[in-house]
Amino acid sequence: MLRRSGLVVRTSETRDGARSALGFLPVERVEGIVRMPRVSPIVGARPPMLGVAQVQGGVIPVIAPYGDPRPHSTPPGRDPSARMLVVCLLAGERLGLAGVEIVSVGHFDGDDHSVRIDGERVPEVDLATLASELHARPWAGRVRA
Amino acid sequence: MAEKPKRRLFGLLRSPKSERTNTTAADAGALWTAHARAATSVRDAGEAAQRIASNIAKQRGALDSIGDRARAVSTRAQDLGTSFSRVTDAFEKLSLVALNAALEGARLGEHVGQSLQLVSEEVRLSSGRGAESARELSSSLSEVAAELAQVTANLERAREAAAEVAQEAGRVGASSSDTERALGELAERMKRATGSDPETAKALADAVEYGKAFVGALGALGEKVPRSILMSVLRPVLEPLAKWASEEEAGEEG
Repeated sequence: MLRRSGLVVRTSETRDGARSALGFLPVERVEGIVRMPRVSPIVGARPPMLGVAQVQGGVIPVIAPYGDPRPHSTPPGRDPSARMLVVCLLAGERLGLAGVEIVSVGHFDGDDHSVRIDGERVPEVDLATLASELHARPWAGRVRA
Repeated sequence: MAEKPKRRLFGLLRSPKSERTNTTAADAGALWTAHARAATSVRDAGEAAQRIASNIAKQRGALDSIGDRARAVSTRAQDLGTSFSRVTDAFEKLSLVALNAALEGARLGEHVGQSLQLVSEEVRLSSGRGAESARELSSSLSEVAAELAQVTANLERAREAAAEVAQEAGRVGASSSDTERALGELAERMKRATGSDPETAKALADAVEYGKAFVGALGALGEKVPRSILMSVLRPVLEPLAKWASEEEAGEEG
């Protein structure tokens, strides 16, 4: 049993009706949490890429792997996942993770791939896979933080 | 031999020579009475229209005052809505600060960062509750502002209706004035046409009524009191009247 530090996030309910789920982000993968900035769309970019945004002096790609929380936040501004962006670090690059709500920050029992909260297994958000998918898209390489 | 004046008088009273003259006098009396009623009604209508216009003016003043206050409250509600938005915004920023503090606490390690995490968790919960309360207040305020907007719209409609009523009251007042003038002209023409005026017509009507009552009383007394006694009693009254009737008849014949 490992003690792991990080964030437990809840994915937003998507427009196609998928239920929300919990995910774990290890502390070493998270740079910080900021207010959802204005996201500029990129021509040719497809979901989960939302676009790029300026965060703390740099431009970073913003993805919403669990669905874009912005169009269906009802009433506008009430959905916490639509108002914050988790800035993640992956191989030295910054990546904005949108559409998630912070459930808890702290230390959790777990293993290399998940943690346990109230007896429930919460898998780690696979940022590496998400990043590799992004790099495989047609717009890959256009944006660097 | 000439007919005695007394008999002539009774003849005149019982069977007037000129039915037309009697009818015209009665008609004139009725006309003047109707004219007086019409004049009174028109005057009353004009005064009522003036009172309505005056009351409507007061009502419009009150409506304007209420409308101004409603608009002021609506503006204040909008300002408060903006303030609540700022409060909500501040709570959300505070919540983010608390989240980042908790994140830093998590980086520091379980023991070193525990106090920071506890404090940040408490701040985050409190700021979340504060933001939610501010949002609820803002929402309630929006509803109040919407109601106020509805009240203002209704007041505006009431004001327009009051303006229309005031216009109509003005028209009624003007019509009453016209009608009063027309009745005045009508009175002049009636004076010329009938040769009488309201006072004369009233006196004539009264005289006719008294005459009828007198004849009725004579008829009743004639059945109970001997005529000689009746005539002796009535002579001081009847002789001047008979004399007047005789002169009148002589004048008509002449």
